[in-house]
Amino acid sequence: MRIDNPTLKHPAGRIVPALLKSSIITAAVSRVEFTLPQDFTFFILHIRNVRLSADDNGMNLRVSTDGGVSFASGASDYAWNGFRNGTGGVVNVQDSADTEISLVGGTPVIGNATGEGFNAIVYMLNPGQDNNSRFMTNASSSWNAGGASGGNLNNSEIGGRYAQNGTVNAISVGTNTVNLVSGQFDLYGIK
Amino acid sequence: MRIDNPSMPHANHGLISFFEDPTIFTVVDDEPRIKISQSDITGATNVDFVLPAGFHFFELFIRNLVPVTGGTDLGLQVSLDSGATFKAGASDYAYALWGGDTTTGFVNQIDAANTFILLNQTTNGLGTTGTQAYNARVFIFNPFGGRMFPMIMCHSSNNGSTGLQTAATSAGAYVGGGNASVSGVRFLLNSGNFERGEIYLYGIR
Repeated sequence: MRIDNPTLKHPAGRIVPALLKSSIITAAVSRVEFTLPQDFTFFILHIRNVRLSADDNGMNLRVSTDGGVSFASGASDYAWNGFRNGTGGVVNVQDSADTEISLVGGTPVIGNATGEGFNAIVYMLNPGQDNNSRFMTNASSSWNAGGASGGNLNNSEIGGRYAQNGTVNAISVGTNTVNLVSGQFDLYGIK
Repeated sequence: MRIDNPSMPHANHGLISFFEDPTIFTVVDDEPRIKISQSDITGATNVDFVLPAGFHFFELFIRNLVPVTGGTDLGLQVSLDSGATFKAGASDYAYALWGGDTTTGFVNQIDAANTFILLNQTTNGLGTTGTQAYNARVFIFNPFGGRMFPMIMCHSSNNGSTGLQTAATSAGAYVGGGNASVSGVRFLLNSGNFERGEIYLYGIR
């Protein structure tokens, strides 16, 4: 019996989304990484119930062009923009030259008290296109924040891109500074 | 033995789809998308899709969309006759878009009476190079109406005509025909043709 075979087709020849990999965090990790099989056109990453090891942190995404051996983190490797909405109102968030794509709008507003954490859906619309806009994402996320960041519920929507050449074939999600101690990541592929 | 029940619930991931061979299955999303059609665009004025019956929602993924003329804007119109004609009246559509680039920031763009639903932030418009290409996810909530206006949502990201990272989120509705059933959608530019790009249509039951 085969499970999660991403090449299987519907009897009518139509392909449904395949769950490529689930990563359930059961011990502290600095980042969660996925390879992106190149026979898929689009990818969707569901992130849910992520708790961090410390209060007041962000969450970001980086990409790899060598199958996950290394992840780009140069000063101008990424550009992203969007908005964040919370108790402080709606604010524009953006960075035209960053070391990562922020999934929370830059400000470290993820809390780690009881009930606080991070959830998101990330759409990867063309990671495998070397000569085009290489990597675009839309992230919609919400979380409860406390501590020094203040606020309560925050919501953000971000568009971002990898600004260098190369076919993106892996991604890495994390905070750069603290660990992820619980949560689940589900990566889906669509043809 | 053959199992064809596509909606059997799974303990953790919603649905399991069974195929001709019941010993082979794959776990799928809570909202399984079935690919309906794909348009590989080369030099088109409009890109049209027919929305077949039997789906509750439709989802379109757009990638690498490039117009011939830089700075143009992308819109969506609907058809009530499976793509034979598309609604383009002056008050047929309403939309509310929130978007911007890394210089201007997000701004509000609202129109209660337009000839199409706007799908990109217009400060820069769409760019003509590959690295400026437009990418988006478009979700159609209730194409077959019956209770309210057919509505769509769009999340887009591109590197606009001036080379600035640009993102937008928009909602729009066809308001020209009450709660009419929509059986087709058209993507169009406010000026000129598409040069290239790809649009994929998926149905969600």
